[in-house]
Amino acid sequence: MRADAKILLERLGRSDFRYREFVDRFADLESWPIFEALLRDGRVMPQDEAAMIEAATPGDSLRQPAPQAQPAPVFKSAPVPEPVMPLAQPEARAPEPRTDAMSRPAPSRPRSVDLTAEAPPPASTLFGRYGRPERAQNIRSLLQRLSDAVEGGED
Amino acid sequence: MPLILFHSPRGGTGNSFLAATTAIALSRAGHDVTALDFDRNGTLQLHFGMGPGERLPGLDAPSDETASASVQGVALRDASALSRQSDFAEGLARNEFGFSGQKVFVADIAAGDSQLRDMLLPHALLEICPLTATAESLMMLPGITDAGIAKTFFVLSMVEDTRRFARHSMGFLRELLGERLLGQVRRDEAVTEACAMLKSLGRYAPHSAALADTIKLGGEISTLLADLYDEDLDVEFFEDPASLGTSDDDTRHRAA
Repeated sequence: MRADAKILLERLGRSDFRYREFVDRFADLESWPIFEALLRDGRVMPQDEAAMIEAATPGDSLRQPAPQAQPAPVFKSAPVPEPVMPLAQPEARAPEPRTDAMSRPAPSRPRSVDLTAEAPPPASTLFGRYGRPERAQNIRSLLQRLSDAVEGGED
Repeated sequence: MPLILFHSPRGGTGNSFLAATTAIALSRAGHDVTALDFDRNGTLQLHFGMGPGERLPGLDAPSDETASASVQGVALRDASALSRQSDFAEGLARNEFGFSGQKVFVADIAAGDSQLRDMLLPHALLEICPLTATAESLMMLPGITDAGIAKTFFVLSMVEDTRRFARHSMGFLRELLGERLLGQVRRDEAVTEACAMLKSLGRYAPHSAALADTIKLGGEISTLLADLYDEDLDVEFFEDPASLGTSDDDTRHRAA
């Protein structure tokens, strides 16, 4: 650590710090095609769910502006899973303030994960392996929640 | 089978650093820990403050040698030569290496050695896969998930929250991996500096941000083990980062 930074942190009574950036807009989050490519990869997200998303939003693209907080119709009738990380729910924030919207710690791990399984599961899907098929979500919804978290200043 | 693999399909993710700090943290939590360097060009020992000229005893070394390399309560072993022997797989099958019982083995596996990883995984309790918040690391995800992640947990490594895409990737990975993501470790120049000084991070920079993050990570992994073994482990010491690498038992016994 640089000496000046160390001195500053000592004056502030801190041992480290987190960086606070200007808020990232939803449009920025949409601009990374690799996110979409991963979510459309059958090894990461089931192809049938990707097809459902495509059917719900024909010709849609993540690059196009999304209606704010408007999930695709197909997911309106589906059970809404509790987000693993309730990014857009301020009341769910940790009491200890942090400064970076994306710097929240990872959620607690599942107690029910069977770590003793000898054989790895067949190559199906990421969400399926977690035993949580309900986590399959609209791509736009996922990115929207990420955006909401950032714009909301969630720490 | 308390064998914990540290392996990432992509290099440069801080795999050896995380393996070393996790081994130290688990040792502090009361486990009997052995760190295994499976990389013939490995740098695991650097993170324990050992220079490149110091040789680690082999995993199959005689007992008088195996007692001679210990840093911060962690026994260090070179397992790279043994793993290249033709009968290594047979030895694993016969449980000749003691990957059972209460002793914890932390294995540092080279990024490109997926064959060894696949060989060890059936004998492992956990696999920790460090990822970085980069497009290159994200590209590895389909391959990782396609190979099966029943035992795999992830760590976001070398996190730089000053970078826009890194922040977005962090959020994306958190959402995608959910509970499989154990934690994150910030990029910290002190890690590089500690290696250059041939000191452990805890000794060189006890207030390092990366050290604080790895302490949390060690707590998570220790809790995982405690759940599996129904042990009542004390992790309270994790609140004192300076205790890592600065205590009186930070003694090193080198091989003669």
